[in-house]
Amino acid sequence: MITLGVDIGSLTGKAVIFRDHEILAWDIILTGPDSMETGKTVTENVLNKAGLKLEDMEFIVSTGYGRIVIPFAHKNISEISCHAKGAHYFFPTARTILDMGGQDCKAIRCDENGKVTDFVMNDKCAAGAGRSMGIMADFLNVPLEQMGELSLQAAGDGVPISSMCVVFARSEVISYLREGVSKSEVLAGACEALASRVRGLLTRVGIQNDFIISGGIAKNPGVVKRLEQKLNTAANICFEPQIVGALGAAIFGKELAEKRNKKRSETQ
Amino acid sequence: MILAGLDVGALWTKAVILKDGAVAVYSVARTGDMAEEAAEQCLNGVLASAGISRSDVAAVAVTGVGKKLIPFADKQVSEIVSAAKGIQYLYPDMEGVIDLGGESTRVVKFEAGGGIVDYAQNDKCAAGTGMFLDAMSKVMGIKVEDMGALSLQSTAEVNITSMCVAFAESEVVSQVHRQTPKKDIVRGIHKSIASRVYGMVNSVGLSEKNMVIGGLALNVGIIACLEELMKIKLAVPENPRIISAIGAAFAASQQGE
Repeated sequence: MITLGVDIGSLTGKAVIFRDHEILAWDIILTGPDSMETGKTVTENVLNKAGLKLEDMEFIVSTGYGRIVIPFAHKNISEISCHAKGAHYFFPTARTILDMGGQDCKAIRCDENGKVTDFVMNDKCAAGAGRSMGIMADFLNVPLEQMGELSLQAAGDGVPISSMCVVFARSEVISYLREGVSKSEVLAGACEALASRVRGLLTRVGIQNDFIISGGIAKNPGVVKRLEQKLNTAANICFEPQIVGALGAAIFGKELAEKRNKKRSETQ
Repeated sequence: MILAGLDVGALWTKAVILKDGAVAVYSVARTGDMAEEAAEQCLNGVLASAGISRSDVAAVAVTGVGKKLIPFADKQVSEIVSAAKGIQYLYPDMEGVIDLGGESTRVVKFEAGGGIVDYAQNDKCAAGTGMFLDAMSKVMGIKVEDMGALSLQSTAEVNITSMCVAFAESEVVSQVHRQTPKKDIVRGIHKSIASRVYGMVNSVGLSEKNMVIGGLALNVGIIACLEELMKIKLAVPENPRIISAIGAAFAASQQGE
Protein backbone atom coordinates (compact mmCIF):
# COMPACT_ATOMS: atom_id res chain seq x y z
CA MET A 1 0.00 0.00 0.00
CA ILE A 2 1.39 3.39 -1.05
CA THR A 3 -0.14 6.67 0.15
CA LEU A 4 0.70 10.34 -0.20
CA GLY A 5 0.45 13.16 2.35
CA VAL A 6 0.65 16.80 1.26
CA ASP A 7 1.04 19.58 3.84
CA ILE A 8 0.65 23.14 2.51
CA GLY A 9 1.85 25.58 5.15
CA SER A 10 2.07 29.36 5.02
CA LEU A 11 5.76 29.32 4.13
CA THR A 12 6.56 25.80 2.89
CA GLY A 13 4.82 22.93 1.13
CA LYS A 14 5.75 19.39 2.19
CA ALA A 15 4.93 15.97 0.68
CA VAL A 16 5.64 12.44 1.93
CA ILE A 17 5.13 9.10 0.19
CA PHE A 18 4.48 6.32 2.70
CA ARG A 19 4.73 2.63 1.80
CA ASP A 20 3.59 0.03 4.30
CA HIS A 21 5.43 1.30 7.35
CA GLU A 22 8.20 3.36 5.87
CA ILE A 23 8.85 6.78 4.41
CA LEU A 24 9.67 6.21 0.76
CA ALA A 25 10.35 9.80 -0.26
CA TRP A 26 9.75 13.35 0.92
CA ASP A 27 10.17 16.87 -0.38
CA ILE A 28 9.93 20.44 0.94
CA ILE A 29 9.52 23.58 -1.16
CA LEU A 30 8.72 27.22 -0.46
CA THR A 31 5.03 28.08 -0.79
CA GLY A 32 4.43 30.46 -3.67
CA PRO A 33 1.51 32.86 -3.90
CA ASP A 34 -0.63 30.03 -5.31
CA SER A 35 -1.21 27.17 -2.84
CA MET A 36 -2.61 24.87 -5.50
CA GLU A 37 0.53 25.25 -7.64
CA THR A 38 2.67 24.63 -4.56
CA GLY A 39 0.73 21.41 -3.91
CA LYS A 40 1.19 20.23 -7.48
CA THR A 41 4.91 21.05 -7.60
CA VAL A 42 5.81 19.42 -4.29
CA THR A 43 3.81 16.33 -5.30
CA GLU A 44 5.60 16.09 -8.68
CA ASN A 45 8.92 16.41 -6.87
CA VAL A 46 8.21 13.66 -4.37
CA LEU A 47 6.82 11.34 -7.07
CA ASN A 48 9.99 11.85 -9.14
CA LYS A 49 12.15 11.06 -6.12
CA ALA A 50 10.23 7.83 -5.51
CA GLY A 51 10.03 7.01 -9.24
CA LEU A 52 6.25 6.69 -8.98
CA LYS A 53 3.17 8.19 -10.61
CA LEU A 54 0.15 9.89 -9.02
CA GLU A 55 -1.97 6.88 -10.07
CA ASP A 56 0.23 4.66 -7.89
CA MET A 57 -1.00 6.48 -4.79
CA GLU A 58 -3.77 4.48 -3.23
CA PHE A 59 -4.95 7.36 -1.08
CA ILE A 60 -3.98 11.03 -0.90
CA VAL A 61 -4.58 13.24 2.16
CA SER A 62 -3.91 16.96 2.28
CA THR A 63 -3.33 19.01 5.41
CA GLY A 64 -2.12 22.44 6.51
CA TYR A 65 -3.29 25.94 5.89
CA GLY A 66 -3.79 25.31 2.13
CA ARG A 67 -5.27 21.81 2.44
CA ILE A 68 -8.63 22.65 0.85
CA VAL A 69 -7.13 23.71 -2.49
CA ILE A 70 -5.41 20.42 -3.36
CA PRO A 71 -7.69 19.06 -6.12
CA PHE A 72 -6.18 15.56 -6.28
CA ALA A 73 -6.53 14.84 -2.54
CA HIS A 74 -9.17 12.30 -1.53
CA LYS A 75 -9.57 13.90 1.86
CA ASN A 76 -8.26 16.81 3.90
CA ILE A 77 -7.50 16.47 7.58
CA SER A 78 -6.57 19.17 10.09
CA GLU A 79 -2.86 19.69 10.70
CA ILE A 80 -3.39 19.20 14.44
CA SER A 81 -4.42 15.56 13.90
CA CYS A 82 -1.71 15.03 11.28
CA HIS A 83 1.07 16.35 13.50
CA ALA A 84 0.03 14.09 16.35
CA LYS A 85 -0.16 11.13 13.99
CA GLY A 86 3.24 11.87 12.43
CA ALA A 87 4.91 12.51 15.79
CA HIS A 88 3.52 9.20 17.08
CA TYR A 89 5.13 7.41 14.12
CA PHE A 90 8.59 8.77 14.93
CA PHE A 91 8.18 8.60 18.71
CA PRO A 92 5.45 6.19 19.85
CA THR A 93 5.89 7.47 23.43
CA ALA A 94 5.07 11.06 22.35
CA ARG A 95 2.43 12.73 24.55
CA THR A 96 3.10 16.46 24.05
CA ILE A 97 3.93 17.98 20.69
CA LEU A 98 5.00 21.48 19.90
CA ASP A 99 4.61 22.29 16.24
CA MET A 100 5.78 25.69 15.20
CA GLY A 101 5.61 26.80 11.63
CA GLY A 102 5.87 30.20 10.02
CA GLN A 103 2.41 31.45 10.75
CA ASP A 104 1.22 29.50 13.75
CA CYS A 105 2.24 27.60 16.82
CA LYS A 106 0.39 24.59 18.23
CA ALA A 107 0.78 22.77 21.51
CA ILE A 108 -0.85 19.35 21.14
CA ARG A 109 -1.50 16.58 23.65
CA CYS A 110 -2.07 13.06 22.34
CA ASP A 111 -2.71 9.58 23.70
CA GLU A 112 -0.75 6.34 23.25
CA ASN A 113 -2.31 5.88 19.80
CA GLY A 114 -1.31 9.30 18.50
CA LYS A 115 -4.87 10.60 18.80
CA VAL A 116 -5.28 14.25 19.80
CA THR A 117 -6.70 14.73 23.31
CA ASP A 118 -6.23 18.51 23.61
CA PHE A 119 -4.52 21.41 21.87
CA VAL A 120 -3.98 25.16 22.02
CA MET A 121 -2.92 27.29 19.13
CA ASN A 122 -1.67 30.76 18.38
CA ASP A 123 -2.23 31.94 14.85
CA LYS A 124 -3.08 35.56 15.60
CA CYS A 125 0.27 37.03 16.54
CA ALA A 126 3.67 36.63 14.88
CA ALA A 127 5.48 37.09 18.19
CA GLY A 128 4.70 33.48 19.09
CA ALA A 129 5.34 31.99 15.66
CA GLY A 130 8.30 31.15 13.48
CA ARG A 131 7.78 34.35 11.53
CA SER A 132 9.28 36.35 14.41
CA MET A 133 12.57 34.52 13.79
CA GLY A 134 12.33 35.18 10.06
CA ILE A 135 11.77 38.88 10.67
CA MET A 136 14.76 39.13 13.01
CA ALA A 137 16.96 37.10 10.67
CA ASP A 138 16.10 39.37 7.75
CA PHE A 139 16.53 42.44 9.83
CA LEU A 140 19.94 41.41 11.17
CA ASN A 141 20.95 40.00 7.80
CA VAL A 142 21.68 36.55 9.26
CA PRO A 143 20.58 33.38 7.40
CA LEU A 144 17.55 31.93 9.21
CA GLU A 145 19.20 28.52 9.56
CA GLN A 146 22.25 30.02 11.30
CA MET A 147 20.51 32.27 13.79
CA GLY A 148 20.01 29.57 16.42
CA GLU A 149 23.70 28.64 16.50
CA LEU A 150 24.72 32.28 16.51
CA SER A 151 22.40 33.02 19.44
CA LEU A 152 24.14 30.32 21.47
CA GLN A 153 27.45 32.14 21.12
CA ALA A 154 26.14 34.96 23.31
CA ALA A 155 26.90 34.92 27.00
CA GLY A 156 23.78 34.22 29.03
CA ASP A 157 20.29 35.22 27.93
CA GLY A 158 21.44 38.09 25.73
CA VAL A 159 19.68 41.43 25.85
CA PRO A 160 16.05 41.45 26.99
CA ILE A 161 13.53 42.17 24.23
CA SER A 162 10.72 43.77 26.21
CA SER A 163 8.31 44.47 23.34
CA MET A 164 5.89 41.67 22.74
CA CYS A 165 5.01 42.77 19.22
CA VAL A 166 7.54 41.84 16.54
CA VAL A 167 7.12 45.24 14.92
CA PHE A 168 7.93 47.05 18.16
CA ALA A 169 10.75 44.60 18.90
CA ARG A 170 12.38 45.63 15.64
CA SER A 171 12.61 49.24 16.84
CA GLU A 172 13.98 47.99 20.15
CA VAL A 173 16.66 46.02 18.31
CA ILE A 174 17.68 49.11 16.33
CA SER A 175 18.52 50.91 19.57
CA TYR A 176 20.45 47.89 20.86
CA LEU A 177 22.54 47.76 17.69
CA ARG A 178 23.24 51.50 17.91
CA GLU A 179 24.45 50.96 21.47
CA GLY A 180 26.91 48.41 20.12
CA VAL A 181 25.17 45.23 21.32
CA SER A 182 26.36 42.25 19.23
CA LYS A 183 24.09 40.39 16.82
CA SER A 184 24.49 37.19 18.84
CA GLU A 185 23.25 38.92 21.99
CA VAL A 186 20.25 40.34 20.12
CA LEU A 187 19.50 36.91 18.64
CA ALA A 188 19.83 35.33 22.07
CA GLY A 189 17.25 37.83 23.33
CA ALA A 190 14.92 37.05 20.41
CA CYS A 191 15.22 33.25 20.91
CA GLU A 192 14.69 33.69 24.64
CA ALA A 193 11.55 35.77 24.01
CA LEU A 194 10.13 33.18 21.63
CA ALA A 195 10.94 30.30 24.00
CA SER A 196 9.11 32.13 26.81
CA ARG A 197 6.04 32.68 24.67
CA VAL A 198 6.01 29.03 23.61
CA ARG A 199 6.39 27.85 27.18
CA GLY A 200 3.21 29.77 28.01
CA LEU A 201 1.32 27.94 25.27
CA LEU A 202 2.67 24.54 26.37
CA THR A 203 1.78 25.20 30.00
CA ARG A 204 -1.80 25.84 28.97
CA VAL A 205 -2.10 22.42 27.37
CA GLY A 206 -0.01 20.76 30.11
CA ILE A 207 3.30 19.06 29.42
CA GLN A 208 3.63 15.32 29.72
CA ASN A 209 6.65 13.36 28.53
CA ASP A 210 7.73 12.47 25.96
CA PHE A 211 7.98 15.91 24.47
CA ILE A 212 8.35 16.33 20.70
CA ILE A 213 9.12 19.41 18.62
CA SER A 214 8.13 19.53 14.97
CA GLY A 215 7.99 22.24 12.32
CA GLY A 216 10.68 24.62 11.18
CA ILE A 217 11.46 25.90 14.68
CA ALA A 218 12.88 22.46 15.61
CA LYS A 219 15.83 23.38 13.37
CA ASN A 220 16.67 26.37 15.55
CA PRO A 221 18.86 25.14 18.43
CA GLY A 222 18.74 28.60 19.99
CA VAL A 223 15.02 28.23 20.68
CA VAL A 224 15.07 24.45 21.30
CA LYS A 225 17.86 24.57 23.94
CA ARG A 226 16.26 27.49 25.78
CA LEU A 227 12.90 25.77 25.75
CA GLU A 228 14.42 22.53 27.09
CA GLN A 229 15.97 24.50 29.95
CA LYS A 230 12.71 26.25 30.78
CA LEU A 231 10.68 23.03 30.68
CA ASN A 232 13.43 21.00 32.31
CA THR A 233 12.90 18.21 29.81
CA ALA A 234 14.64 17.02 26.65
CA ALA A 235 12.94 17.53 23.32
CA ASN A 236 12.73 14.72 20.77
CA ILE A 237 13.27 15.86 17.21
CA CYS A 238 13.11 13.58 14.19
CA PHE A 239 15.55 13.73 11.26
CA GLU A 240 13.32 16.11 9.28
CA PRO A 241 10.95 17.98 11.63
CA GLN A 242 9.21 19.81 8.78
CA ILE A 243 7.66 16.67 7.28
CA VAL A 244 5.84 15.45 10.41
CA GLY A 245 2.47 16.86 9.30
CA ALA A 246 2.73 15.50 5.74
CA LEU A 247 3.79 12.13 7.12
CA GLY A 248 0.79 12.10 9.47
CA ALA A 249 -1.44 12.87 6.48
CA ALA A 250 0.06 9.94 4.53
CA ILE A 251 -0.48 7.60 7.51
CA PHE A 252 -4.10 8.76 7.78
CA GLY A 253 -4.32 7.96 4.05
CA LYS A 254 -3.13 4.45 4.71
CA GLU A 255 -5.68 3.92 7.50
CA LEU A 256 -8.49 5.33 5.39
CA ALA A 257 -7.53 3.22 2.39
CA GLU A 258 -7.45 0.09 4.56
CA LYS A 259 -10.90 0.89 5.94
CA ARG A 260 -12.22 1.53 2.43
CA ASN A 261 -10.69 -1.70 1.08
CA LYS A 262 -12.16 -3.67 3.98
CA LYS A 263 -15.62 -2.24 3.29
CA ARG A 264 -15.29 -3.07 -0.40
CA SER A 265 -14.33 -6.68 0.27
CA GLU A 266 -17.22 -7.04 2.71
CA THR A 267 -19.78 -5.80 0.18
CA GLN A 268 -18.47 -8.04 -2.57
CA MET B 1 2.40 82.59 32.43
CA ILE B 2 4.33 80.85 29.66
CA LEU B 3 4.35 77.04 29.58
CA ALA B 4 5.97 74.59 27.22
CA GLY B 5 4.42 71.22 26.41
CA LEU B 6 6.38 68.40 24.80
CA ASP B 7 4.95 65.16 23.47
CA VAL B 8 7.73 62.67 22.79
CA GLY B 9 5.95 60.05 20.73
CA ALA B 10 7.29 56.80 19.30
CA LEU B 11 7.68 58.32 15.86
CA TRP B 12 7.28 62.10 16.25
CA THR B 13 8.09 64.71 18.89
CA LYS B 14 5.78 67.69 19.21
CA ALA B 15 6.38 70.94 21.11
CA VAL B 16 3.98 73.78 21.89
CA ILE B 17 4.12 77.03 23.82
CA LEU B 18 1.06 78.09 25.81
CA LYS B 19 1.15 81.80 26.47
CA ASP B 20 -1.55 83.48 28.56
CA GLY B 21 -3.99 80.74 27.83
CA ALA B 22 -3.45 80.59 24.06
CA VAL B 23 -1.42 78.23 21.90
CA ALA B 24 1.43 80.40 20.65
CA VAL B 25 3.44 78.17 18.35
CA TYR B 26 4.11 74.51 17.73
CA SER B 27 6.58 72.36 15.89
CA VAL B 28 6.89 68.70 14.97
CA ALA B 29 10.09 66.65 14.48
CA ARG B 30 11.05 62.99 14.06
CA THR B 31 11.84 61.39 17.41
CA GLY B 32 14.44 58.96 16.07
CA ASP B 33 16.42 57.16 18.71
CA MET B 34 17.87 60.29 20.28
CA ALA B 35 14.70 61.38 22.03
CA GLU B 36 16.35 63.93 24.27
CA GLU B 37 18.07 65.71 21.38
CA ALA B 38 14.90 65.68 19.29
CA ALA B 39 12.96 67.17 22.21
CA GLU B 40 15.61 69.79 22.89
CA GLN B 41 15.66 70.83 19.22
CA CYS B 42 11.89 70.88 19.01
CA LEU B 43 11.63 73.01 22.13
CA ASN B 44 14.33 75.44 21.03
CA GLY B 45 12.57 75.69 17.67
CA VAL B 46 9.25 76.80 19.18
CA LEU B 47 10.96 79.17 21.60
CA ALA B 48 12.89 80.81 18.77
CA SER B 49 9.85 81.24 16.54
CA ALA B 50 7.83 82.66 19.45
CA GLY B 51 10.70 84.96 20.39
CA ILE B 52 10.71 83.68 23.95
CA SER B 53 13.80 82.81 25.95
CA ARG B 54 14.01 79.58 27.91
CA SER B 55 14.17 81.49 31.21
CA ASP B 56 10.72 82.98 30.57
CA VAL B 57 9.15 79.52 30.53
CA ALA B 58 7.56 78.77 33.90
CA ALA B 59 7.55 75.00 33.34
CA VAL B 60 8.29 72.40 30.67
CA ALA B 61 5.81 69.53 30.81
CA VAL B 62 6.43 66.32 28.88
CA THR B 63 4.18 63.44 27.82
CA GLY B 64 4.40 60.57 25.33
CA VAL B 65 6.15 57.18 25.37
CA GLY B 66 9.55 58.89 25.50
CA LYS B 67 8.73 61.18 28.43
CA LYS B 68 11.13 59.42 30.81
CA LEU B 69 14.01 60.13 28.43
CA ILE B 70 13.69 63.91 28.86
CA PRO B 71 15.65 64.90 31.99
CA PHE B 72 15.24 68.65 31.44
CA ALA B 73 11.44 68.53 31.77
CA ASP B 74 9.91 69.86 34.99
CA LYS B 75 6.81 67.66 34.91
CA GLN B 76 5.81 64.33 33.42
CA VAL B 77 2.19 63.90 32.43
CA SER B 78 0.65 60.55 31.46
CA GLU B 79 -0.51 60.17 27.85
CA ILE B 80 -4.06 59.48 29.04
CA VAL B 81 -4.19 62.73 31.00
CA SER B 82 -2.51 64.84 28.33
CA ALA B 83 -4.88 63.62 25.58
CA ALA B 84 -7.90 64.43 27.75
CA LYS B 85 -6.54 67.78 28.95
CA GLY B 86 -5.62 68.87 25.44
CA ILE B 87 -9.19 68.40 24.26
CA GLN B 88 -10.63 69.99 27.41
CA TYR B 89 -8.40 73.01 26.93
CA LEU B 90 -9.53 73.65 23.36
CA TYR B 91 -13.05 72.20 23.39
CA PRO B 92 -14.50 72.49 26.91
CA ASP B 93 -17.80 70.75 26.15
CA MET B 94 -16.24 67.50 24.84
CA GLU B 95 -16.49 64.26 26.82
CA GLY B 96 -14.04 61.95 25.14
CA VAL B 97 -10.96 61.57 22.94
CA ILE B 98 -9.65 58.91 20.59
CA ASP B 99 -5.87 59.19 20.28
CA LEU B 100 -4.40 57.39 17.28
CA GLY B 101 -0.63 57.46 17.71
CA GLY B 102 2.39 55.79 16.15
CA GLU B 103 2.85 52.92 18.58
CA SER B 104 -0.20 53.22 20.74
CA THR B 105 -3.91 53.82 20.53
CA ARG B 106 -5.99 55.11 23.41
CA VAL B 107 -9.56 56.04 24.09
CA VAL B 108 -10.32 58.29 27.06
CA LYS B 109 -13.72 59.20 28.46
CA PHE B 110 -14.02 62.18 30.82
CA GLU B 111 -16.55 64.60 32.28
CA ALA B 112 -16.78 67.84 30.31
CA GLY B 113 -14.06 69.97 31.86
CA GLY B 114 -13.64 67.40 34.64
CA GLY B 115 -11.95 64.18 35.62
CA ILE B 116 -11.27 61.01 33.66
CA VAL B 117 -14.07 58.44 33.85
CA ASP B 118 -12.52 55.52 31.96
CA TYR B 119 -9.90 54.70 29.35
CA ALA B 120 -8.54 51.89 27.19
CA GLN B 121 -5.09 51.69 25.75
CA ASN B 122 -3.16 49.43 23.39
CA ASP B 123 0.61 49.69 23.51
CA LYS B 124 1.58 46.01 23.32
CA CYS B 125 0.59 45.17 19.77
CA ALA B 126 1.10 47.20 16.61
CA ALA B 127 -2.32 46.22 15.22
CA GLY B 128 -4.46 49.32 14.91
CA THR B 129 -1.58 51.76 15.35
CA GLY B 130 0.37 54.09 13.09
CA MET B 131 3.08 51.44 12.77
CA PHE B 132 0.50 49.15 11.15
CA LEU B 133 -0.29 51.84 8.59
CA ASP B 134 3.42 52.58 8.04
CA ALA B 135 4.18 48.92 7.39
CA MET B 136 1.30 48.58 4.92
CA SER B 137 2.25 51.78 3.14
CA LYS B 138 5.74 50.35 2.61
CA VAL B 139 4.59 47.01 1.19
CA MET B 140 2.13 48.79 -1.10
CA GLY B 141 4.55 51.51 -2.15
CA ILE B 142 2.00 54.24 -1.36
CA LYS B 143 2.82 57.23 0.84
CA VAL B 144 0.98 57.27 4.17
CA GLU B 145 -0.37 60.74 3.45
CA ASP B 146 -1.87 59.58 0.15
CA MET B 147 -3.68 56.57 1.59
CA GLY B 148 -6.70 58.38 3.05
CA ALA B 149 -7.88 60.06 -0.14
CA LEU B 150 -7.16 56.95 -2.24
CA SER B 151 -9.26 54.72 0.01
CA LEU B 152 -12.28 57.02 -0.33
CA GLN B 153 -12.43 56.03 -4.03
CA SER B 154 -12.81 52.36 -3.12
CA THR B 155 -15.73 50.55 -4.74
CA ALA B 156 -15.26 46.92 -3.61
CA GLU B 157 -14.96 45.34 -0.17
CA VAL B 158 -11.57 43.86 0.70
CA ASN B 159 -11.00 42.47 4.17
CA ILE B 160 -7.60 42.11 5.78
CA THR B 161 -8.29 39.26 8.17
CA SER B 162 -4.92 39.04 9.93
CA MET B 163 -4.68 41.15 13.03
CA CYS B 164 -0.90 40.93 13.32
CA VAL B 165 1.15 43.41 11.26
CA ALA B 166 3.57 40.68 10.20
CA PHE B 167 0.77 38.44 8.91
CA ALA B 168 -1.22 41.32 7.42
CA GLU B 169 1.86 42.28 5.38
CA SER B 170 1.80 38.92 3.60
CA GLU B 171 -1.94 39.19 3.16
CA VAL B 172 -1.59 42.61 1.55
CA VAL B 173 1.25 41.37 -0.68
CA SER B 174 -0.91 38.50 -1.94
CA GLN B 175 -3.79 40.92 -2.59
CA VAL B 176 -1.39 43.05 -4.65
CA HIS B 177 -0.28 39.91 -6.55
CA ARG B 178 -3.91 39.09 -7.25
CA GLN B 179 -4.17 42.58 -8.75
CA THR B 180 -6.87 43.70 -6.37
CA PRO B 181 -7.26 47.47 -6.92
CA LYS B 182 -5.01 49.37 -4.52
CA LYS B 183 -7.80 51.71 -3.42
CA ASP B 184 -9.80 48.70 -2.20
CA ILE B 185 -6.82 47.14 -0.39
CA VAL B 186 -6.07 50.46 1.32
CA ARG B 187 -9.66 50.73 2.46
CA GLY B 188 -9.37 47.17 3.81
CA ILE B 189 -6.29 48.28 5.77
CA HIS B 190 -8.17 51.28 7.16
CA LYS B 191 -11.11 49.09 8.13
CA SER B 192 -8.75 46.80 10.02
CA ILE B 193 -7.34 49.73 12.01
CA ALA B 194 -10.80 51.21 12.60
CA SER B 195 -12.18 47.93 13.90
CA ARG B 196 -9.38 47.64 16.47
CA VAL B 197 -10.04 51.21 17.61
CA TYR B 198 -13.78 50.57 17.66
CA GLY B 199 -13.24 47.67 20.07
CA MET B 200 -11.62 50.11 22.49
CA VAL B 201 -14.30 52.76 21.92
CA ASN B 202 -16.93 50.18 22.86
CA SER B 203 -15.11 49.00 25.95
CA VAL B 204 -14.94 52.58 27.22
CA GLY B 205 -18.39 53.63 25.98
CA LEU B 206 -17.87 57.07 24.47
CA SER B 207 -20.67 59.62 24.06
CA GLU B 208 -21.15 61.51 20.78
CA LYS B 209 -19.13 64.45 22.07
CA ASN B 210 -15.63 63.32 21.31
CA MET B 211 -12.75 64.09 19.02
CA VAL B 212 -10.03 62.16 17.25
CA ILE B 213 -6.39 63.20 17.70
CA GLY B 214 -2.93 61.84 16.85
CA GLY B 215 -1.24 61.42 13.49
CA LEU B 216 -3.77 58.93 12.14
CA ALA B 217 -6.57 61.48 12.66
CA LEU B 218 -5.18 63.18 9.54
CA ASN B 219 -6.14 60.11 7.51
CA VAL B 220 -9.65 60.74 6.16
CA GLY B 221 -10.00 57.08 5.21
CA ILE B 222 -9.55 55.87 8.77
CA ILE B 223 -11.94 58.53 10.08
CA ALA B 224 -14.55 57.46 7.49
CA CYS B 225 -14.24 53.78 8.48
CA LEU B 226 -14.46 54.65 12.16
CA GLU B 227 -17.51 56.85 11.55
CA GLU B 228 -19.15 53.95 9.74
CA LEU B 229 -18.58 51.65 12.71
CA MET B 230 -19.51 54.20 15.39
CA LYS B 231 -22.48 55.47 13.35
CA ILE B 232 -21.69 59.10 14.25
CA LYS B 233 -19.79 61.98 12.68
CA LEU B 234 -16.36 62.42 14.17
CA ALA B 235 -14.65 65.74 14.70
CA VAL B 236 -10.92 66.21 14.21
CA PRO B 237 -9.20 69.31 15.62
CA GLU B 238 -7.24 71.55 13.32
CA ASN B 239 -3.83 70.18 14.35
CA PRO B 240 -4.61 66.73 15.75
CA ARG B 241 -0.96 65.84 16.32
CA ILE B 242 -0.22 68.54 18.89
CA ILE B 243 -3.21 68.10 21.21
CA SER B 244 -1.38 65.96 23.75
CA ALA B 245 1.52 68.44 23.91
CA ILE B 246 -1.03 71.18 24.62
CA GLY B 247 -2.65 68.93 27.20
CA ALA B 248 0.67 68.33 28.97
CA ALA B 249 1.30 72.08 29.26
CA PHE B 250 -2.29 72.68 30.39
CA ALA B 251 -2.02 69.94 33.02
CA ALA B 252 1.17 71.56 34.30
CA SER B 253 -0.54 74.95 34.55
CA GLN B 254 -3.43 73.47 36.56
CA GLN B 255 -1.06 71.73 38.93
CA GLY B 256 0.83 74.98 39.37
CA GLU B 257 -2.24 76.87 40.49
